[in-house]
Amino acid sequence: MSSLDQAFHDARSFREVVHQAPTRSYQSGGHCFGVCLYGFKIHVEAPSLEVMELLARCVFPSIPRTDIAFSRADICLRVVQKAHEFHLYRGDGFVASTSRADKLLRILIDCLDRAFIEGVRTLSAVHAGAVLLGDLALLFPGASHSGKSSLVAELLRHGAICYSDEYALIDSEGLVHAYPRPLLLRNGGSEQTAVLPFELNARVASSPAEVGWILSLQYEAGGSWKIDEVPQSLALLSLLRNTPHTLADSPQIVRSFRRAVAGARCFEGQRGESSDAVCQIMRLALASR
Amino acid sequence: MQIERTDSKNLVVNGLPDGSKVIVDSKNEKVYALNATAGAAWDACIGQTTLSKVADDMRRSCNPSITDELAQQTIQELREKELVKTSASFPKASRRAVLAGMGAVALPLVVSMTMGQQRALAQEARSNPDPSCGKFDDRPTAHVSHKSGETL
Repeated sequence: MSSLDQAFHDARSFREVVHQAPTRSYQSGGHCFGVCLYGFKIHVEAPSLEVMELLARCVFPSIPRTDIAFSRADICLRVVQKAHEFHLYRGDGFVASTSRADKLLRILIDCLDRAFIEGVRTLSAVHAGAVLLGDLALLFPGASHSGKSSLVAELLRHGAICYSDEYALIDSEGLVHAYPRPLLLRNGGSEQTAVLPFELNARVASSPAEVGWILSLQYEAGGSWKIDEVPQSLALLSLLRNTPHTLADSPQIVRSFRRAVAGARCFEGQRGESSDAVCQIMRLALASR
Repeated sequence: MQIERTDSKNLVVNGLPDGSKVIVDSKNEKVYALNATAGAAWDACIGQTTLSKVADDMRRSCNPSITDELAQQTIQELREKELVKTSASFPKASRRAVLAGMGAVALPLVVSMTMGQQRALAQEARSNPDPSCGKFDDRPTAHVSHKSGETL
């Protein structure tokens, strides 16, 4: 069995524990927990255990819970129940309200994404799906709604290890780190469902990895797989086009991204459905090792 | 005819293992991606030089089969992106002559992006608007700034 096959086998046989939320009750009878991700501190409050369980599923579920005071957190997300409505606050600022707590989750995840990207200091984000194949990371940069999540999910079903369906986090050495939010998968319509990697028989990567492949793919409904190898400089440009950081404010991202692409084979092209694309990607990954 | 880089002082050049380069021009707020062929021509333009010297340097550093016509085409690409300047205009290299000298060499490629474009794309990547938000049957009321104690 090759090291790649072994890694896939390990991922399949792995079962991940979701860190459950209820840690502490506070005066008003609500519940809270904290999470610290790469030094970014998050405080979450909910009015009941039921809502707390929903939030626990959405707020970096694979990261251990800790006690982070409201006053020391980088972001405080609070769900408050008023009569028959649930209100979401970021700090003291109202964000949204609805009669069902689960309807707030997508907005809560967006809030968390934005706050994290603005707040994290040691890593640069790229809007990209990212998985580990063998011991190398595969990135496919792309805008929202370009099918990153469905492709990540399909790769996880085939034994890849999850870095993220939304942001690849790249450090100053060019290594990729996990952004362990739930995958947001569409169920055929416009609504998205939060799915955890272990529910796809996969796990979240626990250590950083070098980038092995960068695939800039356009989804074409009913289309076939057509890719060309491109220079690493074009892949670097693709990372710059898909990062939420501005080059003018964060010039150091070029250096990080240069290191990320320096060991990668880079491709651009089009793909059809995820199932076909994943077969092609696996073939490509195995052939280039 | 003399060839030289337009402004080296404000450029940060990032070389990559495959010979391609990313050049950041902070003064003119542009980023350029050069493939290995264009990167070799750029390297050859250190100091004032001539087209025949550029072609020789490219043959040495990139691929021995590079022709003078391909070197000329590459310099034209770099000049169009204002990365190099020339003391006079080139006669346009014929496509047939350029392609005849291709062999295993990639055509020169120079892609640019302004920092303004990058900023706009970064804002788009940050805002991450999901069209499904607000399309729920039970549509959330969103993004009005209130204090927590106020009536909503």
